[in-house]
Amino acid sequence: MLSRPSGTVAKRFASAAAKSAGVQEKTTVLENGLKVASVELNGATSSIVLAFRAGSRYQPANKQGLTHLIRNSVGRDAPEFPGLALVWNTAQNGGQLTAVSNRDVLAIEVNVVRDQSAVALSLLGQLGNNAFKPWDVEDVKHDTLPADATYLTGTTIAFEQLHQAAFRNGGLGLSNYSVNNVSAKDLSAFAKARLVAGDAVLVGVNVDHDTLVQAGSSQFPLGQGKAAQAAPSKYFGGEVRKDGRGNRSYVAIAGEGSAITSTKDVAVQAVVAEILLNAAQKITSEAISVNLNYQDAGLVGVQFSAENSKITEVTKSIASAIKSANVKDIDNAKKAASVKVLAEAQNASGVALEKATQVLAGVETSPREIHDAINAVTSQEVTQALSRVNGKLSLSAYGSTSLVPYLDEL
Amino acid sequence: MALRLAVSSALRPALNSQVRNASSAVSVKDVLANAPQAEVTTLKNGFRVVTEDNGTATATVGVWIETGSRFENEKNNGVAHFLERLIHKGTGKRASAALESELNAIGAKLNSFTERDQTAVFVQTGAQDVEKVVDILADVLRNSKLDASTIDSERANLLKELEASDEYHQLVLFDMLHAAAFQGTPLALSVLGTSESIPNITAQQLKEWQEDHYRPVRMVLSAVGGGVSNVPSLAEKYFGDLSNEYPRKVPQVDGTRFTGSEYRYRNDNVPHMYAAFAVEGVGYAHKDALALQIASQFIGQWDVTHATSRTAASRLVQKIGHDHGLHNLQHFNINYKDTGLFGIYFVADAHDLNDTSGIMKSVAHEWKHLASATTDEEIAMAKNQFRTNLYQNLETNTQKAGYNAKELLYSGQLRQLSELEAQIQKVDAGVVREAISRHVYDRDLAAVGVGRTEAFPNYALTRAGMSWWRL
Repeated sequence: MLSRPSGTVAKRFASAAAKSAGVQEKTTVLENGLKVASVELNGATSSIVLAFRAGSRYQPANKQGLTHLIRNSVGRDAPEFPGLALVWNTAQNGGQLTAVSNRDVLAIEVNVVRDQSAVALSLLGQLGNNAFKPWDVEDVKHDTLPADATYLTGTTIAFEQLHQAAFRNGGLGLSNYSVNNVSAKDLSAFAKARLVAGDAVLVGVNVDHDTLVQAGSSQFPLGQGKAAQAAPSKYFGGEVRKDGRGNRSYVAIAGEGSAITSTKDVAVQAVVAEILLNAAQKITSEAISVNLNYQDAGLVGVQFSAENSKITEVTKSIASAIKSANVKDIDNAKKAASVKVLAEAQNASGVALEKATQVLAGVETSPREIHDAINAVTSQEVTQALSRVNGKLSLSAYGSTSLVPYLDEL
Repeated sequence: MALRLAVSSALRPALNSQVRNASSAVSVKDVLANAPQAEVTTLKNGFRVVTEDNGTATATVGVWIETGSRFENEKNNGVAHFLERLIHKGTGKRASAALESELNAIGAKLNSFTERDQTAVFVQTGAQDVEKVVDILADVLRNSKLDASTIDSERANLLKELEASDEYHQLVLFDMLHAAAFQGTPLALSVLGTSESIPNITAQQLKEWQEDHYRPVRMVLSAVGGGVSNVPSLAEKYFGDLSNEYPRKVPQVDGTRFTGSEYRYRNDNVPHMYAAFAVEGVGYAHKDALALQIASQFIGQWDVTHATSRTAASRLVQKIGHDHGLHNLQHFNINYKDTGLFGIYFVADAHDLNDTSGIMKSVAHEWKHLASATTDEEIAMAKNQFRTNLYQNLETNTQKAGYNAKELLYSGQLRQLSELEAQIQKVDAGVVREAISRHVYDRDLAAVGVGRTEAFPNYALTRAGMSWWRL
């Protein structure tokens, strides 16, 4: 799909590149403030990402849904080129266009055979320069927002609500999927303020660095300047519940994690996430990890679903498993976390989005550093992190919520 | 998932003129020529090993086995999948918990799946733990415990999942497509089995299945990553003594037969109509396989959450994406060893016969266009799309290990990616036109529908539309 919010962008800061041998990384800052970063994994396809510090947390409080609408508008008319020509030409060259966002970052991504990466770059420059024509915006609203709402899965709804439970009305609590009465003017104003060179990064994985720099300086018509920083989002904890149809219920339980900015904390959280996941998977094999590092805060825990007849029991067992999680299996968790980090680094698209997230958060950590950081995690650090998680939990439930116990009953 | 397809030349020069230095960059060809090559070793007992040492810090090691539901019959349907599930449950040497804790200690999980014609069991781990993994794989494949209580509890799980699978309309639809297209042959059987066969599968049958199918000549050990260069000798150590003697009949596929037919399951409680229309495709190693794959890419894939319809990079989607109540449209090209399915899957409101017939009319138009009038420019676009997809899906060790194993199991040979790239480059409009004329134009269809099928397109009309331009 062209547009999707991404839980993974900020999730695994801890990946970067794996092939210690062939990997080359370079970052250049252009005159207008645009950062250009390249990573070479020696793959046959290039992943090119134009990312802005403009995720859902930056939406004005009364304009919820802005990032959702911008995300869905990628591929419409730019000031000088019709959207149709941009989309068709991207496809003609083998490019696959995606727009993703999470709470911190809004990104446009083109994956393309590396022969065509230079053409794809020139197209991306225009795709990132949306004109937000009023009729286009109305079209996008009408054609895509109802479909997105219809096709939201229980897992996504629980994931979005978890943020609301954890961060309340703070920036990180705002959803990636809101739909509100936002106009083309609002989009243009937001774009003018936030989609600017000083708040943007152009990442190319498997793209020649010089080509990238040259394209970045001549083919990306971005406004000058830098936007305001986000207000820090405080972790509160709590619960959010919403009734839904069907015979399954979806639950997410998580506690306070760490910001992306400290490599050490990110590594500790990756280990904690593995310990919690392993504990939860003993109860239901369908449990998945919640391991998120945003610019100023994080979440770590698990997400799962079960038939309504079992959800009460499963929720109780998983909550008690989280509460009694300990460092007994720390070595296994460290091993699993490092295999995961290294394996994810093989995927060019994932690496590009991670890199963009890192650069926008003002950090750049080499893969070796992350790997070493995970190996250096101590039992004491994990115990501390686990007690912070359990200090104040957040719970989100979607489905038959009357069957999901409240936090203080767990 | 993203935008695919389509053709435009009107504005391309304007955009291309902005490109500089394109030629100085490394090309796909260079990258693939310098990439680590996969090497095949065959043990004395016929067990094949394919390794690709790329120096990364992780490795994926697994065994791919030629087995699956197409070797079953109505009575033991589901036994291959059943057995695959049981290999997670411990061996004579390692109890279930011990197996899990040994894997946990190397940060790994045992992954497995079964399809109509293969079972795969694989593990992703750190490069230093490759030997451990080969040891575990050999143990679970050769010494599964298969004790009665485990079998019964797994049987209960399978039956529950079988019941739950009714809700997955796409899965049901593709099972029905096989049941219709390959009726009267074992390819018609579902991987999951039936509520009649699963309760009656005995421990003896499972054991015999293992003895008959997990034989060295039917298996490929595939390893990609770091630390895998000694895998052939490890294979010798752990699989070298496996014998090729068959205590019973040698399992084989009894030919294939495609039947043009229609199969509908109407259930108005399902909110949409799920439909698939397919002609017989080709086997994996057939000379037209790549051309059909590229043709399939030409039609592509779209769903209603793509933020494009009128601006979609596909003439088909632009035409039918916004006024036929369409939710999802996906062209597919499935290759088995000796046959395949080539067709279209879609989900629609199906409020009106005009809508659904309109969809099929437009799809058939694209097929006829591919058979007679497609241009090199269109095919260049589809090829670029296909290459991006292909290489992007072979980036990780796990994906590459699967590719290498599939090549060997299906064709007995292994194409390096650089050879595959050369083959793709040779496909032009003429090749696609010929392949489509041979396999798609004026061919019988298997047509299946699930859900609100009252407005299912009329078979006779759809069939006539395979060659009549006016339909």
